[in-house]
Amino acid sequence: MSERTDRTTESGPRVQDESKRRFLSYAAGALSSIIAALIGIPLVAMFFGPLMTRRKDLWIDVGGASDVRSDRPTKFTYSYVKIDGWFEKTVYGTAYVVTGANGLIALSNICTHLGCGVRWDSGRGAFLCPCHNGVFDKNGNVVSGPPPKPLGRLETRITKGRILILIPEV
Amino acid sequence: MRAILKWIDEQTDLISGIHRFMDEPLPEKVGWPHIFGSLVSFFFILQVTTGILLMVYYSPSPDHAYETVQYINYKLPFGGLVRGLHHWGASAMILALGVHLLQVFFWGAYKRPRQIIWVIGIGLMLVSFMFSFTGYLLPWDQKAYWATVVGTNIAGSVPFIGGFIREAMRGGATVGAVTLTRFFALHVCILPPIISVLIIFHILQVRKKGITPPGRAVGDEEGVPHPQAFWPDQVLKDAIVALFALFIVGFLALKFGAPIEPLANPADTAYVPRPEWYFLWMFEMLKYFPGNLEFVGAVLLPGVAVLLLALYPYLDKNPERAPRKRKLAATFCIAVLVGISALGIHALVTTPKEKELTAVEKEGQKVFFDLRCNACHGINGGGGNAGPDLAQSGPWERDALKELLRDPTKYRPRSIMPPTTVSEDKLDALIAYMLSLTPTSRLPFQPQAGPRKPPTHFSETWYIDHKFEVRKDPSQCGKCHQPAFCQTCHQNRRPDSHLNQWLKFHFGTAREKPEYCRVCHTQAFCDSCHETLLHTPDWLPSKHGKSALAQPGVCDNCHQPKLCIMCHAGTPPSTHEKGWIPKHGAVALKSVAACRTCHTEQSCRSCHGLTIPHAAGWIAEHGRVAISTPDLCTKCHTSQRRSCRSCHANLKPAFHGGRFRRAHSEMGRDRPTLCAQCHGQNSCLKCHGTQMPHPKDWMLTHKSHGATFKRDGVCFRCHAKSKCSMCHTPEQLRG
Repeated sequence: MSERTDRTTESGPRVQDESKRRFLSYAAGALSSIIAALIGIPLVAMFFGPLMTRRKDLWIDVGGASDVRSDRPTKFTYSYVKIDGWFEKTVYGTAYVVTGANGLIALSNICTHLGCGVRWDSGRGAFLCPCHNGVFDKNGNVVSGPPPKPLGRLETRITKGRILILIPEV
Repeated sequence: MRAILKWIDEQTDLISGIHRFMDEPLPEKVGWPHIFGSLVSFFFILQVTTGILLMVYYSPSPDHAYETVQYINYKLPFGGLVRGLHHWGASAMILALGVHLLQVFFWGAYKRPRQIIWVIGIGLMLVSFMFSFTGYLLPWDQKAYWATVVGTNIAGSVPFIGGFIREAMRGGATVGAVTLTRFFALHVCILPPIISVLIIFHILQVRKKGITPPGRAVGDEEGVPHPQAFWPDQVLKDAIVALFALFIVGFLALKFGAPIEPLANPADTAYVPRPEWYFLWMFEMLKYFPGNLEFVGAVLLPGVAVLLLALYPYLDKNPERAPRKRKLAATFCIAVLVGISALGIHALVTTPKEKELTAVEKEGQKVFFDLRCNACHGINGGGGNAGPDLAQSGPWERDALKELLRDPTKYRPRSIMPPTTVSEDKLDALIAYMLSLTPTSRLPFQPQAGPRKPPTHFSETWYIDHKFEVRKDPSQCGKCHQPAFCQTCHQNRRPDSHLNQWLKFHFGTAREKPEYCRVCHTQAFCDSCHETLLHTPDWLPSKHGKSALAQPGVCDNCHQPKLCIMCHAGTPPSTHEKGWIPKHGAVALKSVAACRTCHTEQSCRSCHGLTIPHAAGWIAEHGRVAISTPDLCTKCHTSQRRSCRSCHANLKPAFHGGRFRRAHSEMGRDRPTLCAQCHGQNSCLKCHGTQMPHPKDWMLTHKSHGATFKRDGVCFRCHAKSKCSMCHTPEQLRG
């Protein structure tokens, strides 16, 4: 501080008193901050804009309820169009539907270990993960291998004989 | 906090360095007029910050650039505002830069010892123009495309190496994907470091040499008092002006936004490319140079001018700074300024204005978009390519156009255009808009309504290709389009496969590839026939007869007519029970088609002797048949049914004219029943008094009537008296 005062005095006679100088400093600082905020707010909002877009759950028709076999899980593939920013893409997925005690259960085919796609092995009567030998039983419960939890269950609904599964937050 | 800052300062000298920089002492009389340099810096910072955010979402490829800009402009929160700030900020920066340049020139601030600051400043101006030029292409809209085409062509006018320069700028022979990526790289990667280095150098030099004390001549700067510091005295003034400038630019960005034109379209012939306002004067100047001298106006003159401008501090030996002591320089500068403004204004004025639409035409334009006419019809390249380009078609006649819109098949039976079903007012407005179209009309920009079409759909031959693509994988279309989408065109124009005998053979396709049918048709379409005609197990015993009678001919769509005979030849239908023959006429008259299900025309002819029901034109012909074979008519036409009398009661047949009365005996004798048809069995008695013609045994029996006849003279109505004497003696006659 003292250095600054010295430098100013050094260059020319000092005509402003300290309080006026302080007021001007605060005013300049405040105005600069206002400008920074006025520019910054839209920029920050724009950066986080895609997070603010409204999402909604999507029910997808995967197939007829009559196609589900009672003896083993039935594989259904589905697809839906997803708007990804300016981009529109088709997302494909697979669900296994099994007949449970309380109606149909739709299982995701994504292994809960590291996300590989499991498939039904009718010879062994289990879902096998091709990556790290995870094994799940017919209802998706872990039988052996590294998976920490059972296969994900997708919410289902049956309307007019068609199976609908819920894809959360498309 | 203080301790941390102190430690940082001890280690780096950073904070005290900033203090030293900010505390620059300023000479007296420096103040409000000196804000323009800072203002340019402010706009530069605004451009950098908004530009970075735009870059977060921008994709520099012709496939996506336009989409991403639309996404930024219309979908992202504050996206339109940020893009608007970037657009208007660019113009504002050029404006502030120009004012700054003029001010430095008029105040002679470029003179010794500050020549190099001026030279760097000119460099900064050139880099700013390069920013403008490269940034222009990035939205990949019409203005972007054409400005770049023209700009690179100007560079191409340089003798000998022009072609190379042009191709180097474009990255190829034409403006395309490679041009876009290299302009993007220039705009965001190459130019920013260059301009940053120049700005730092520019400011450091200003800091080192100090602000020019206003009004002092070269060499007369000693002893000027420095009563104020950059911080806070000048910064406060800069901040006030910057805030004011931000409000103006923000207002422009909110009110007008950044323009976005239709997607770049090299085929558009009506587009009027115009550069940004600060290049307009150059654009205008080029009009006055003949083609072969274009290089002079476009490159040589501006190049020499910029070079002279950059070197001016070293050429100008006048030590005075005040403008009134540098009359020549000041006059020349004003002359150049006036010249540039005049050229720019002239260019603005002479830019062809788009035709203003009247209120009705504007209404019609709205209808045009509401009906999505632009999906098929382009206006000078904008819009779809399925139908004719409306700006290049016409002129139309109002009435014919109206008929065409109401019923497109009126003039072309296989037209795929759906009929326009709006109210009369809207149709009139639409017609008014269409009639207002000229070869220079343009389709106003329409924000994209739905997801963007895939690139295949933009190919010029898509409307021919699509039927092959549909066949390859019909479900592909179903990802975006509802089945009804096909119907909008195909209700008037069925696929070629559906012509001729399609209905007979559609079952095979429907069974093997049901997805083909699903492309256009819903289940309801199948049901419309198959619900009533579905050949369920109980079809043959209980249903088919009813359907065959209710919809005559419907079976022939699939079956050969002989199919019925296969069963019905020996087994008549249940209707044909006892007593059917007398009743069958009534059924046949109601719907002869029902008879034709089993019976051919020959069946009727075999009994009736002629085509039943009577062919067209029968009335004119029936007289001849009635005369030649009179019994034929009475088979059906009894007195209850329409008989001759019902028409001929008061109307003699044509052959009754002239001497018929005298000659009628011959006809009566040959075909007595013919007369009886109209005249009844006993009509002869009225005149002849006896049965006519005479019965076969008349010669033997007429004796019994002899006395009566003799008395009444009945015989002599036809016969001469001498006829009796051929057989009878005079005595017998007298007796």
